[in-house]
Amino acid sequence: MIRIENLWFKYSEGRKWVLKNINFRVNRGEFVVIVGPNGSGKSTLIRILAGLVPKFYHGEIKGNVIVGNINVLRNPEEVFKVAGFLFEDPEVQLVTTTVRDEVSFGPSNLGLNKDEIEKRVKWALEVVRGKILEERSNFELSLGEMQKVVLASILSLKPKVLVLDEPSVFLETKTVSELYTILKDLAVNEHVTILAVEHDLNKVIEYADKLIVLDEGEIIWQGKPEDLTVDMMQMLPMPQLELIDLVKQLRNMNEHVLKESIVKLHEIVEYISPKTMNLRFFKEHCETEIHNENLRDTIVEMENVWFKYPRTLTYAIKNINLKISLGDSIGILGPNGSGKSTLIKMMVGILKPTHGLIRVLGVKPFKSRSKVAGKIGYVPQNPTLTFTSPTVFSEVYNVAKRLNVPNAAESTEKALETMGLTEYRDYKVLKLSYGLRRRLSIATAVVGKPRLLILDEPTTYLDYRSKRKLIKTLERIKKNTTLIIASQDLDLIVKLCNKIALLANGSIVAYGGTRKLVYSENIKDLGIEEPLVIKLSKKFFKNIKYGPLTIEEFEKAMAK
Amino acid sequence: MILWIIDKIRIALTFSKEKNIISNAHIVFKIVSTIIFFAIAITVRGLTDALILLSYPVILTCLTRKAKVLFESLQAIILPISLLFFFTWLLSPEGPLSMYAAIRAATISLRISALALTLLIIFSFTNPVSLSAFLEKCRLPLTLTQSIILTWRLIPLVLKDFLEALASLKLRKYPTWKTLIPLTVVSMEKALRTSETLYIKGFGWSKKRTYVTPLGNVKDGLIMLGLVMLISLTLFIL
Repeated sequence: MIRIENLWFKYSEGRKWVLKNINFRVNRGEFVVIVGPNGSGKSTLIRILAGLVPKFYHGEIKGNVIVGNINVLRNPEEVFKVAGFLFEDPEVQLVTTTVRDEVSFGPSNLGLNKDEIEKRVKWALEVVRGKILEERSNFELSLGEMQKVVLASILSLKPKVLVLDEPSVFLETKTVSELYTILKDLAVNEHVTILAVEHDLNKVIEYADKLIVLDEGEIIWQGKPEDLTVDMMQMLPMPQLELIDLVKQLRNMNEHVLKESIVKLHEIVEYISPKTMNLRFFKEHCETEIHNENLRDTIVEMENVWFKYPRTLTYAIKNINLKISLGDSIGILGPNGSGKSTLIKMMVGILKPTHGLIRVLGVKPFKSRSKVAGKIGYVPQNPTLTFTSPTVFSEVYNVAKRLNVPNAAESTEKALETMGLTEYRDYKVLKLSYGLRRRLSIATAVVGKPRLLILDEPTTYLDYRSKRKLIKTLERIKKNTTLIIASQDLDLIVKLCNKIALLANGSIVAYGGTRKLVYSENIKDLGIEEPLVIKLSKKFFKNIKYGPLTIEEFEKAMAK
Repeated sequence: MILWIIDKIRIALTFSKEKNIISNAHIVFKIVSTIIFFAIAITVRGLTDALILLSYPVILTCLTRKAKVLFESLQAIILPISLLFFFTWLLSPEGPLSMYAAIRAATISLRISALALTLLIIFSFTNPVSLSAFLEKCRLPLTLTQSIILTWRLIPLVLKDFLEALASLKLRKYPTWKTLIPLTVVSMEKALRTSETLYIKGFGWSKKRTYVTPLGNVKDGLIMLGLVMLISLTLFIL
């Protein structure tokens, strides 16, 4: 269904080839996953398949791209008849105002009759298990629901090929599994060919029939997931698996393990992990965490906070009472639509609570933001919203000047170094990848040495490697700053935060020390993926109250 | 203040899918009644007439059975209307101390308020797809009718980005106008994604589209039209 031969591409403004001699085939009903680190050329490849190159992205292109029976490079405007495309951000892919209109948009463009369109709308919504959304407005949908509606709107075109560009970026694990299960069913039952790009192999490996590994514009490996062994995976510059880190840490990376397929890693880890654990170490940790509470100044205070978005029927935030002390690192954890970003937006004064009181650094943020300017560093979900200058250096330097930071140039260099951006100092801001933009936005937020740093979903779009870099940087920053992170990434939160506020349906369902909360609450039931060590610890030791949070702690805790 | 006003405008321009007489009314009657209301608003001169005119958005609110809609629309226009009143009164040829100047300023402000509130309330409860379908039946080009839908869809998104950018930049001590820089960039990126989406969903492939969204209910449309006629009759008699 898809045939790519000797494909080369470079953007008109770039000197380097972004794609180099790409060759692969995908058969009917096959589920193929393209993986690779940030900037490997995955999204460009998808855009070529969608016929968006060179109409939307100009450049030099060579080779042959066939989707279905359509030669994409010759007839790009015909591609939509055989292939549907789903991009990472569902919000901008909704082009009407209601779910029904959205799903019928594609067939309407084909000029089909009303009965056929009605039939397709019903079928597509049933396939994505979104029948109950039919009468809803697009403005009321959560990100997970939006993604389902976008998928239905594509399916209503009855594509033979479905191409997806990182569809899981904004979704929590439960929704991602649901989405991939739907896609797998489509491949098996309807023989739709699926080609998905992912940076997180964990999320998709169990569904894939074939893997294609891309790096710096080249295919460096392709084959069945079962054929990808641990040692191969270590050599490939692709997003690594947490599992491999764990195996390395357990020092059992012997010849036998190296030759095993990555699909079997779960079994291997369970087999090689010792089955006893020294839990006293964690108990002491928990006690210290509890002991240190209530000794420091309150930096954020929320009393009976409620919030309702306009033109909606339900409250997005319900009766939140929260106190955050100076020096704390708080993770606001919850699935899509639980109210994390809303809570953060109220803290920085973007939204005003419908009822209740919020004080940040002693002032009401919505009314007196100027009083906290420079004292709060805020990095929104879309970091580009914070940029005003052309280059990386000038961006940070201008903020430093605005905040009257002494030795602005020196502080800028230091902030760039902390964020690992020194080598990009003269780059144009808009040429940076999403991960680098995020780091730059954090650099502008921390250059004035704020007392409080607030981050909204900082790991969105980041691959495993970029995420680890970000965690290391934030570990340094949190030593001098109170940190608040809203995320559904538990792995990030356990590594950085000493406390967690667990949010579900707009309410805090649990609040406390990270270790205690992670081991006492059923976070998994909320659709949040537990990091591997927590999953394994809970599996090996039923009903434990505290345990390891990181791979290093896991290794330490194992009785030799 | 600017944050507050932008937030209120965003709220007032957000489409609501609630079912009521206004949302159910046939699009043609909605358009006709709005045009008639505009025509009456232009002819109104006195303060009493302006107050009668203002009763139309109030009645529309009653039809929606949501007093909050009127309140939210009022919040969105309160600042510009107050400024209009103030400057009309201050710069009046009779001088600000004249009673006539105050009455004239009030009349003009109430007329504009009635128009703005009516538009915002009808706007909130009109599905742009039905408007687009109607305009297309009137032979308007496809690209223009789709632009209406997209504008309806994207205005709240752009305003949401504006609020976020403004907050981020204010915390970095930037002046408000600098918000336009990231806002322009992000809006352009979003516009590009949206145009890609339209393209891959086959928009523009054929000049003729099929519309499945109904144009609305004639009975409810007649109620809206009847109300406008009643107001114009009242104004005519008085």
